[in-house]
Amino acid sequence: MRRPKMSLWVDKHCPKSLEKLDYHEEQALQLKGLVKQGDFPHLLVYGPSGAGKKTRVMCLLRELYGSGTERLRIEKLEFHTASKKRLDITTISSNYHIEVNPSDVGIYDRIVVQELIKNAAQAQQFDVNGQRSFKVIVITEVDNLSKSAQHALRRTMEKYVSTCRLILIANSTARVIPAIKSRCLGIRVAAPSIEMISITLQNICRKEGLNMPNELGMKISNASGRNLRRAILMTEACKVKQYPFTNNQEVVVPDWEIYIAKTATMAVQEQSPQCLQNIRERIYELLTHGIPAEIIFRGLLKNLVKNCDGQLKAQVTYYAADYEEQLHKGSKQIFHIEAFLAKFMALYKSFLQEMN
Amino acid sequence: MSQDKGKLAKWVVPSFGDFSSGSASSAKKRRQDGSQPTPQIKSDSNEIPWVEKYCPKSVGNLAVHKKKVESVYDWLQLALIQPEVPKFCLVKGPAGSGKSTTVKVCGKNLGIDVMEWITPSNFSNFKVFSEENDFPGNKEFDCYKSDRQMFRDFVIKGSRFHSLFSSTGSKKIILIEDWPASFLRDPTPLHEILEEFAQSGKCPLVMITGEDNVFNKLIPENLIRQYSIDVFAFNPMAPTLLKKVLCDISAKEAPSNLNAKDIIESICQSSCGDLRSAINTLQFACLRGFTKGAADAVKGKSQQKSPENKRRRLDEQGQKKQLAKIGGRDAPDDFFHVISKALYAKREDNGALKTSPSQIVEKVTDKSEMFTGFLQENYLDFMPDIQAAAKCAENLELASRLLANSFDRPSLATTGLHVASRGVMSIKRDKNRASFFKSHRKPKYIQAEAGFKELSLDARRTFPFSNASSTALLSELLPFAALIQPHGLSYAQTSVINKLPLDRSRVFLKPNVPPNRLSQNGNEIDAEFKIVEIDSD
Repeated sequence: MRRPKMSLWVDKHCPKSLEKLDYHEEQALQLKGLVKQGDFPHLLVYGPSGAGKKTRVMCLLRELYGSGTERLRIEKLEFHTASKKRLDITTISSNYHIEVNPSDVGIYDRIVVQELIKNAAQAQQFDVNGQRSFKVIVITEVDNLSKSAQHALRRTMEKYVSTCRLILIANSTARVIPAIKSRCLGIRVAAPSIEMISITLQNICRKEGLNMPNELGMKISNASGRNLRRAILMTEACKVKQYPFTNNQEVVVPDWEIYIAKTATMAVQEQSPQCLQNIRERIYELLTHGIPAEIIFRGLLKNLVKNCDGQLKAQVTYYAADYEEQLHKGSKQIFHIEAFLAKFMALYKSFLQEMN
Repeated sequence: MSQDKGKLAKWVVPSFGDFSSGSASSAKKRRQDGSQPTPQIKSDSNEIPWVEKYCPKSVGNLAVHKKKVESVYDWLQLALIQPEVPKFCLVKGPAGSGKSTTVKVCGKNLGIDVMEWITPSNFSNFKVFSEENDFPGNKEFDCYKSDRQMFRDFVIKGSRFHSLFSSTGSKKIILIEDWPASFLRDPTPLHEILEEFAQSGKCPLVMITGEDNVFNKLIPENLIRQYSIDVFAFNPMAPTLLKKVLCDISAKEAPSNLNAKDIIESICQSSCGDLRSAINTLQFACLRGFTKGAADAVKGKSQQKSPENKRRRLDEQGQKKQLAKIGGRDAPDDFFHVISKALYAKREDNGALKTSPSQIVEKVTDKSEMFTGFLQENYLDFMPDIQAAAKCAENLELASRLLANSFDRPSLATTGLHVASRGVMSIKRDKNRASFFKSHRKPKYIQAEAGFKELSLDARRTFPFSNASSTALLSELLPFAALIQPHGLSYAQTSVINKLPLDRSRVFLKPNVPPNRLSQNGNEIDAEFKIVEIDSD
């Protein structure tokens, strides 16, 4: 299957090899060295969203196997649970690697993890020219794997170490069980700094033949929250909205950001269980649309503290941080977001009463 | 009425054997609530289980609601006018609501035979020599008919042929209450038998089931329509009716018992509308009221040792409690009942909770996720102010966290449930709103998770080669793609993007864009695609 021609800058200007990476060059060199040795351990690549984890993994695979890793195809695999329920899962693979997101099948992720690795690992590399004796299995969104799947992963990982390597991609290691962490070489891909993002944006604009004022570049970088993917998308959206760029141009934000801001306003306007109920509906709406809870937390906090004085600001921020941390230990996001909002509303109400 | 110790021993040793015959008693022979085996006493008429002794003999005596009895009676009458056309009816209701008694008494009053199927419990008693099995010289070969086969023979042949012992001739009905266990596993053969009966049966067929889930499995909705089965749903016995029956019995049995009123009151409360269990309890209670030995037997060994005066000091309250312990049925363990109890958290006048949180925890241990989910979805309706809500939300948050980690440490599950139930119940409810009614909402997080899953699968399917994870796709790539309107989006991709706006009335990209026109040239796309401005209402 051909890669569809979707010409978003994020995809178009995605670096394809380790040399072309725009930042964390030292780490790129280390990765190169890792591959040069011919063998490498299982990897756990982690870092915030938009830091370039997957980009690095793809570059690494290319370094390993050559450009063959870019010829991707989509495969539908079929697994069966013990109760004969059929599970379909889509994988993306080249001749050398296979990429899968087991959390697509929800609670049955354990079966996918076990069976997929078994299948992939039992088939030896057929490619005669292939310089590697192992295949790579890329598992994405490891944070979302259930505990049982992670334990299954731990066992299969050891068993098939001779024929395959795993590259696990996760946003944070908080929800990865220690047994897996210790079996993998952890590679942290830190979020790029504001300056790095700005430089990268300039580079892209240059390639596109556009003129990007420095200040706008910084403005977008700041607004992106050190998320390069977001920054590039924002730049392109800005370009669509208004070109040539001007320094005081509005940075385009997605609609859910406005939605979160409005939700925060509701909490400031009225503090009652009924109001919290209405807010909960909105949070559900956000979660249904795939807005990660961490981003909701951040967005809420940013808008809530605007209405607080110094002391309350500190308190609210403390609770936001606290509940966000708990979020990673729990399984139901709404509980944590709602607890935070309820806490804020209670604090804010007593704050208002003190003022009067 | 006095009894010696020797006889008492019989009281405490339950006997499961058959103890009497006759149609009236056989109706009571099998208990749906098998926890209370009726003791075997034959010597004295006083000691016949009262359930049998006071079994109603005529329609007028039935303790079931009159209208209900009438409807069953009329149905039987109607069904017997044309016995060649088989008719079905289904009587359902909780244990002890008088289902089978009503059917049997009605049948008796109408002068018809009630043929009841009783699943043989012991196969060796029912050895059937197979006629098909005619291997020469193998006549001794024992062949067992399956439950199912016997059931079929009973139902089909029983409806066609008259009993030799029948005095009423052709007037008869077939009653099925004791469903062969194999049908519960796989009801298809039952459905085949019903089909056959519908074609060749010659008398009405009355089916009785207890719990709804059993009945739903045995006879699904479509069969009810197909055979136009009439359904009579019995409710738990109303407390007034129950009380009347108990009072009548106690007046006859123990006119001298002064405590009767209290005892009956407490039995009515604890029996949950189960008449059979209520009468059994009454009999038991009266026994211990009269004889010292029986009371000891009931109370168990530890109290037997206690000095007599101590026992006398047991106040009425204690007595009631004791009674509830021996005879009372548990209050319904229905999940939603439990949820309501936790949410309303009703209190006694002195401020103590009516239901203790621990009791609630015991009943929901197997549905912990659901329990906290329901509490979380509904607790806000019960909170007097935001401070209370914040406290409650905090407790629920902790509970959900504990439950989430119970995979590694199972004991955390119980702790989590305790935190949830106590956290919700400990907060004082608003007095003024104590008795309002609220229907419970289903926890929405399931829906939200499902919605997210679907959306992310759609997104990943249509944008398979993106480096973004599902959440990044949905929260960054696609919303921006909607703003950027890149060239070359496929129709599927456009439709996924159009699912994204948070306000469902808005669309990012104009819908119904013909897929082939998307990638022609930039100008045309600009004309076709129109971003609908996100306004702030």
